[in-house]
Amino acid sequence: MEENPRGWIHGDETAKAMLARVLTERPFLFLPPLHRVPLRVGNVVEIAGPSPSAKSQILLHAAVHCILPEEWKGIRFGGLERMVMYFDLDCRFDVLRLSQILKHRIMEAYKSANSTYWEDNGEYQKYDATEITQMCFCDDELFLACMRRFLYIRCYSSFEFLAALKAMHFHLQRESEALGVGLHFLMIDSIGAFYWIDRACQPMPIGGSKRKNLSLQNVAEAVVQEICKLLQTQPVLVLATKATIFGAGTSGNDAQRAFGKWCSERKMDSRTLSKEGEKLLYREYMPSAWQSFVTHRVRLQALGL
Amino acid sequence: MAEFNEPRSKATASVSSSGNPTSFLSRASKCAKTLEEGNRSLSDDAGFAQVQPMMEDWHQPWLNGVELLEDSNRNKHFLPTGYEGIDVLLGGGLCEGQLTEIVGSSSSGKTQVCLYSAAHVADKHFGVVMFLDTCNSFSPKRIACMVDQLSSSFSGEVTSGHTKICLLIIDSISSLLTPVLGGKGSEGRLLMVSAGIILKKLANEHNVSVLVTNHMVGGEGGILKPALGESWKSIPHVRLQLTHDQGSNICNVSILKHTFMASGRTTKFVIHG
Repeated sequence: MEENPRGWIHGDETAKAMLARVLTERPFLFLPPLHRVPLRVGNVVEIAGPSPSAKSQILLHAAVHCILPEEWKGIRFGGLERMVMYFDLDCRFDVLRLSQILKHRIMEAYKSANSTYWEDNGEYQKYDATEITQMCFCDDELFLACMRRFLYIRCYSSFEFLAALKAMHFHLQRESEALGVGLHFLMIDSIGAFYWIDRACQPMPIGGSKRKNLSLQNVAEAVVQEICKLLQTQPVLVLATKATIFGAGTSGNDAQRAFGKWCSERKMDSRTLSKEGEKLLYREYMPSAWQSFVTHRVRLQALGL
Repeated sequence: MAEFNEPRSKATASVSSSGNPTSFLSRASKCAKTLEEGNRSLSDDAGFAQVQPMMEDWHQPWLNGVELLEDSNRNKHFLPTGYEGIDVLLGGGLCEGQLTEIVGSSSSGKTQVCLYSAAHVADKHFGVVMFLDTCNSFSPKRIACMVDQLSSSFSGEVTSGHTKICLLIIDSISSLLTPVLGGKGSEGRLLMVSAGIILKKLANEHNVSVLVTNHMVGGEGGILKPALGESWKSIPHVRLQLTHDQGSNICNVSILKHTFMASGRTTKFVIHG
C-alpha cells in the first residue's frame, strides 16, 4: 500500500523509456514482400485477395524468414530462428514449395557469403553452380533444423480448427522444450475456408440453454477468443489469408449492373477498387468479431500475366 | 450436424465435476504460464492430461516440416499422364495427394487427356484407376484402343499387382455442380466447398491423385472463363487450361495455378488417336 498519495500520480516510467523498452522487447519486423509495412508481435494481419494472387506465397516467405537462423557456421542468414505454427484450413499446402523457397534462400546466402569472402581477400573467384549446390546440401543439417521449426496442422472443418486451437498451447510447450525456441508466427491459410459451411449451419440448441449454438458468429468469436488467450501467454504475430468472394449469385457482368442496387443495401459492406477501368467488388464476409480483431489489412491484386 | 453433438457431450461427461468445460480449459491454458513461473499445480495438470488424449481425436495430428517432407517423398508420387508436354509442365505428372483441375471449352481435349491418363497409369501398373463419368463421355472402345497402343510398346514385365486406387478421375465435376450453383441460396456453394474438402481429404489420406474437369462459360466482354465461379478457384491445387486449334491435333496447355510452378507457363502436346 502506497503511503504517500503523491506516489499514486507519479508515473512508472516516462514515455521515452516505455518506447525504448517496448521497441527492444518487440522490435518491428519487415517481412520481405511486405517490407513497407512495419509489423510487431501482437499484430493480426489479414491478407486478402482474389484467387491467383500470391497470398500463400507471402505466408511461405514469411515462414522461411522466421525459421532460418540468424547465423550458421559463419554465414549470415538474417532469420529469426523461431517456430512457425501453420493452420492449413484450405488443405492446399505443398511442402515441396516450402522446401524450394528454403533451399533457394540458403543458396543465396552461401553465394553472397562466398563472393564477399573472395572480394575481401583481393581475389575474385566465381564458384561453379554445382559446387555451391554440393556445399549447401552436405549441410543438410541446417535444412532439417529449419524444417523442424515449421509446425503444421490441417483442419477439415471449423470444429477441428477450434479443437486444434484449444490444444495448441500444450503441443507448443512440448515443442518449445524439445527445440529450445519459442513461437513467433501463427499463420492461418484461408480464414474464410469454412464460410459457406458455417453460414448454412442451422443454429440448433445443443443440450441445455447455457450452451451456445453453432453459427458463423459464434465460431468466429470462439476463434478470436482462443487466439487472444494465446496472445496473452505468448505474443505472436498472426498472419491470416482470406480469399475474396464476390456477391452471391453474380458474375462479373452482373456485378457491374447490380452495383447501384448493392449500394442501397445496408447489410452488405462492399468496397470498390478500380483497376484499369474494371470495377471489382470485394465483399467483406467475415463476421464482425473477426473484423474487429484484425489490426492490419493487406489487399492484393494480380496485375495480369 | 450430428457429429458436432457427440464429442461435446463426451467432454461434459468426464469433466462434470469441474463444471463448464470451457472454463476448465481456460484454466488449463493459464496453466502454461504458471508452469513457467515454477508453481506447478498438480490437480490442473492431471485434469488436463485427462482431457488431452480425447482432444487429440478431434483434430488432425500435429506435424512438422521434416515429417511432411518424409510423407511427401514416401507416399506422394507423381503419376505421369503419358503426354510428355503435360508431364514436364507439371514437374513430373499428376501429384498424389493433390486435386488437379483441367479447364477447357468443349472439344478442347479434356476427355481425351483423362482417358489417356487413365490408360497410361493403369498400363504402367501404378495402381487402380477409378473413372467417374458424369457426362457420358467414357468410351470403352477408345480406352481399349489406347491400351493396345500402349501395351505394344511395353516391355511385358508385370510388376507386383497394386490393388490400391491411385488415380480418381471425375469427368466432369462442373456438370454436377452447376445446376445447384446460382440462385439466391448459398446451398450450391456449400455443396461445392464440401465436395472440394472431401476430395482433398480423400487425396491426402489415401494418397490418391484426383483429376477433375471443368468447362468454360462466357464472362465479361465475351471472353470465356472457367465455370463454377470465384469460390471454386481456391479449391484445386493445380489448374490447367486446355485449348485446341481446330483441325490440328496439337493442344495448348497453360498453367492457371500451381503450387510450385509459375502461372502462365504454356506448352503444346499432340493428341494421339
